[in-house]
Formats: sequence, C-alpha cells, structure tokens
Amino acid sequence: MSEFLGVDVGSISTNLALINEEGELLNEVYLRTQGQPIEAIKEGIEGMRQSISLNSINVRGVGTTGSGRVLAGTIVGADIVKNEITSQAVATLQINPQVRTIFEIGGQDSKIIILQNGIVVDFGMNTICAAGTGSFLDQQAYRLKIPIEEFGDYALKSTNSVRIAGRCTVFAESDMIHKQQLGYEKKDIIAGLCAALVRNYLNNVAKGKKICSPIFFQGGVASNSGIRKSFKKELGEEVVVPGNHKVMGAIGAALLAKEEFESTGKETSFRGFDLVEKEYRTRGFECDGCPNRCEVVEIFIEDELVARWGDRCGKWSLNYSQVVT
Amino acid sequence: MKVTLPNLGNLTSIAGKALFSNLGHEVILPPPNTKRTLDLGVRYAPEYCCLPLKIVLGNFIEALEKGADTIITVGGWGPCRFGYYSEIQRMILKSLGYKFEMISMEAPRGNLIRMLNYINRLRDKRSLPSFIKALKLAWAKFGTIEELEKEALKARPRENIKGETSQVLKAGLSLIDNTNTIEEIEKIKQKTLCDFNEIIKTNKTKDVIKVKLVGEFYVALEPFVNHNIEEKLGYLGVEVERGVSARPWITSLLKFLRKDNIQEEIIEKAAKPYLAQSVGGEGQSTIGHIVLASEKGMDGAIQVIPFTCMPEVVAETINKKVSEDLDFPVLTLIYDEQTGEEGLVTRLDAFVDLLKMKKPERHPIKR
Repeated sequence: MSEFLGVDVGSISTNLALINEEGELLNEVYLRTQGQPIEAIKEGIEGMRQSISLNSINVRGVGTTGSGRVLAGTIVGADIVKNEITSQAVATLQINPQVRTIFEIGGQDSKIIILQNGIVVDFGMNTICAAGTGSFLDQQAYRLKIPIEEFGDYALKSTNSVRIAGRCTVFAESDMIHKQQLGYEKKDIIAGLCAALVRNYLNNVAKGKKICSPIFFQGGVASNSGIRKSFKKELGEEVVVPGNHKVMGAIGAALLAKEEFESTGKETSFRGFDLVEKEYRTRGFECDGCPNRCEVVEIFIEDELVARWGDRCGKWSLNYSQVVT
Repeated sequence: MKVTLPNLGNLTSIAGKALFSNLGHEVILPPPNTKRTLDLGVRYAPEYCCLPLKIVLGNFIEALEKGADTIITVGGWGPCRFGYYSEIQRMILKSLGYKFEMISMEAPRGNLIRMLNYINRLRDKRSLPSFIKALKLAWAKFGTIEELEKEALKARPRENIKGETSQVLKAGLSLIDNTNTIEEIEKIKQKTLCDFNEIIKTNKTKDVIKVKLVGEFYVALEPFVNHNIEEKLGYLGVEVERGVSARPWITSLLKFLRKDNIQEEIIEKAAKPYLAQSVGGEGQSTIGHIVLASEKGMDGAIQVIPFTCMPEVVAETINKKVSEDLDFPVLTLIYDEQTGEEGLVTRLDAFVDLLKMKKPERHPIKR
C-alpha cells in the first residue's frame, strides 16, 4: 500500500491528513498550534501514529502547507512544500471538480480562490486586517464568555440582528460594546457581528471578484454556523461546507505529495513516525553583518543542523525547501 | 562638495557615482538600504506618505551622517506627489538640524535658466567637453547596468545552480563600477552577456513562465523595497520582463528635447481603451504594459504599488477589467514598511502555480 501525508501548519491550528493512493482520507488530526509549531507537529504526528496501524502503512510522500510550511517541511522531511492557496484548491477540486469559488477563513488570514474548469484563475488574500478571521472571533467569544464552538449557534437564535461596523476590528469592537451598553441582547449582537464579518470579507478580500456557484467555505471559521448563515443570506446562494473543512489544506498537501510521487517516483524524504522521539531544537541569533540585523533561525535535529533561514542577503541560508524543490 | 544621491538599485550607486566623481566631486553614497534606513524614514516622514519618500529620506540621513553636504535628487512638477518630495525632505532634514544643500534636478517647465544654473554648479568649472564626457560615461554605465539586469532576468529561471546568475551579474556590475572608459564598459558588457548566454544555453528549451513586472517606478526598481521580487520570481522559474525601467523614464523627462518618444506612445495607445489620460505616476503605463504583455502572449503580470499611491490604485481598479477582458492574470502587491516576507512569498508562489495551471499542456504534472 502507498499512503501520503499532508501537514498544514497555520498560525492557529496544525492539521494532518493521511490519504491512500485513491486519494481517500484515512485519518485526520486537528489541533491548536499555540505558538509552538514544532511541538504541534510532533503532537500531530504522534496522534496520527496512535490512530493507525503502522504495519499496514507505507508513507510514500509528504507534503506541507500553511504559513509554517517550510518549518514543517524541515521537521517531517517533506517531498513537496506548497502554498495554502494551491493546497486548498487541489483538495476542493477532488470533492467537486466543478467548484468555482472557495472561501477559506482561518485563524490569521482569509482567502478567496476563484476557479474555472478545474484550475485556479484568481485569488485574493486579506490585505487590510484580521477583521473576519478566526482570531477576532476567538477574542470576542472570550470577551462575551461564550465558548467559541457555540458562538455561531447564538447568532442563529437571533431574530433581530444589530448592525455592527465590520471594516476594522477596532470599529467592530467599539460598536459592539456600544450596542451592548444600549441593552441589545447577546445573540443579536453576535448575529450582527457575523453579518459584519461576512460583509467585510466580501467587500475586501473578495472585492471585484465574480462569485459563482458552486461555492465552498472551509477553514476553521467554517465551523461557525452564524457565519455560514450570513454568507448564504448575503449571497443568496448555497454555500457548501465540506465535512473535512478544517483539514482541507492538509488533504491538499497530501494530494500534492501523491502527485509528486506519481510523477517523479522519487523516494520520500519522510523522517518516519519515529521523528516524535527525536529531539528538535531551534536556535536564533542576530546577524551583525549589517544594520539589517536579521534574525537567523537554525533548526537542529539531535544536534545536527538541518536548516537555517531568516537572513535577507542569503549568507546564512541553508534552506530545506532548496533541497526539496 | 561632498555629494550624495538616493539609492536606486545599482543605478545611482554605480552610474550616479561615476557621473559626479568625474565632475570632480567627492561622492558619499548612502549605505545600502537596510531596516535602519526604513526606521529612520518612518520615524521622520509624515505617516501617510508612501514608502519611496520614507526610504529616500532614510538614505539622506544616513549619507549626511557619513559626512555628505550636498544632496542631489530629482523633483519638480509631476509625476505625482513625488514632485514635492524633495522639498518635503529638505524641510524635514533642516528641521532635524542637518546642514546641507539640496539640488533637485527638475525637468524645466519654461524655466531653463534655473536648470542651467544647477548644471553650471555641478559642472564645477569644468570645460563643457569634459562635462559632456562625464555625462556620456555615466549614461553608458546606466544603460549597461539596466541591460545586464534585464538579461539576468532571462538567465535566472534557466540556471542549474541556484544563485549562479546573480553571481555573474554581481561580478559584471562590480567591474563596471571600477572602470572609467566607454570601451571597457562595452567589453565587460559583452563578456557578461556571454556568461548569461552560457547559463541560458544549458536550459534553452525550458518553457518558463513569463511575467511582466509593472507598477510604481521606485518600488519596481529598488530591490530592498520590493523584497527582491525579481530574484524570488526567478527562483520560482519565472522569466520577468520589466515594464518599468529608468532609462525611458529619464528620456521622457527630457521630452522637451525630443517630441517623438515612440515607445511611450505605443504604451499610451495600448492603455487608451481603458484609461484615456494620464493619472499621474505610472498609472496609465501600468495598464498599457499589461495590455501589451497580454498581446505578446506572456503569461501574466505583477503590479507593485507603494501603499497610498494614488496613480497605481487607479490602475489597480481598472486592471480588474483589463484582466477579465483579456483573460490575463494580474497580481497586485502593495508594499509598505512590513519586513516579513511570508505573505509575499505565499502570494507569489500561488500566482506562479495559477499561471502554470493555465498551461496544462506545458506543465502537465506539477500544479
């Protein structure tokens, strides 16, 4: 058997997906990065190892994606390191080859991907701020003392949504507080916030892009039923949230690893599930070669230097992605 | 006079230096752009001004610290707010207590006498022939630098060893910097072009993605500011063609001498259906270049903008329509003082994937 592993290291969550040679999902792991990507990756690999029977698994390729993709690639030994946009698109196309629009809203950024005839023709990433991303929702849920998992359901209960400014989190938050002090109910404020975030997303990230059906909505925020409802209402179209919406990036990375293997037949660089037992260490130093004072980061596995990056001029770079691609 | 100039890629540090040192001035170049340059510029410039003003202000401060006493820059009317920048920078530097003189080379608008006065000062009592000789040499260096840089853009996506092209370029430029005759420059140019050709030959048939780089002049040409976008794209296997280059810009400033700027007219004409008049800066030519690149069968275009740049924002809005009409992908990148590159790299990587996917017959496997 041949299996392929995808690892998606985002700022908020780290996701892993294992697929077989048919591209079917065998197992997934979703956990929080909590500012420690290396630990999260190890924990994810460990979680994967425990829930599969290792004897019947033969990992032939590994792909990494997400903002921590280069680091992840180094840690697990990736065969392909790809940006999140391509990974998300590849995973969604596998579900529905006719997909035209993908909304992806994660912890720190949001994206829109426009496809036509099975290829990406345009994309956008949020350029203004974190308004509309998972972190802001997290923060507001915490402020209102509502578990983030229930946040969306509160919005669904509302019958009288309040208008909240959506352009910037600063405006949104002060508007929310103001409305709350006027005596509006929590559920109505939350519904207003969901509507505001969707408006912000459509006006900024999706600005000027033609949104056609089928529309897919994925990333951590797609779990939020309030946001889902607001999208449907605003667009007047069906918005599909795939069952694995949280791990779509990882699935895409795994599919890309599969493709890479099928086209090159190269032996995988995967360090194996045993990597969790190894000691990974990072060390940083400030280069004093010029006033840029770049912060150079070095990655060690069991005291062996495996990668180094962070410098502008390239004098230190020992980039894993150089070895891979 | 201890003369200094703003940094602009390799142009001012090599060609600009050659000009003024051959005119008998001591040239004190600002150190290469670093985070410190940026910090100084951001600290002292008005917040809402664009990045070019801030970086150049940082250059001036760093050069004055090194002992320069005369700043040579460009300004005057147009092409956008930039026209006022030298004046603003002068005022800021004065208020910071620096003692210096600023000579702002302006395209004369009726006032030829002022221009001639400046030239006379810079000429520093040299005879007219030796002035012209210095000018010619600097112009030759200027042209050669741009030509080599453009050729490097062709070689880089075809190199076998990463960084090979940049090394050849660096070596060639350093030789040009150290030479003082036009014949030598020509020889170095031919030699370097040959070296590039060697690199290109190894992967001659490689079908690379071709992207036009357009947008605001300074951001497009200053590698520190645009995070070395040309090199990054080269390593992603993209052949970049510059839509912005300094030589036509200068010749267009000297338009009053020559009315028939053919290249410019072609670009203007191409932009006409979408934007019939100039909106300042490179706004109109950005659109023209995109239309022409599409007609030429290139794969896509990347527009680089400094945050708050009005002309480019106008062009960006219109580009959506251009891109849709011509089925030609355009990626817009907005630069400000951020130094993190992750977002930039992700966008470039995704854009290159998009361009490759568009050509399935050429790139059947790798998405």
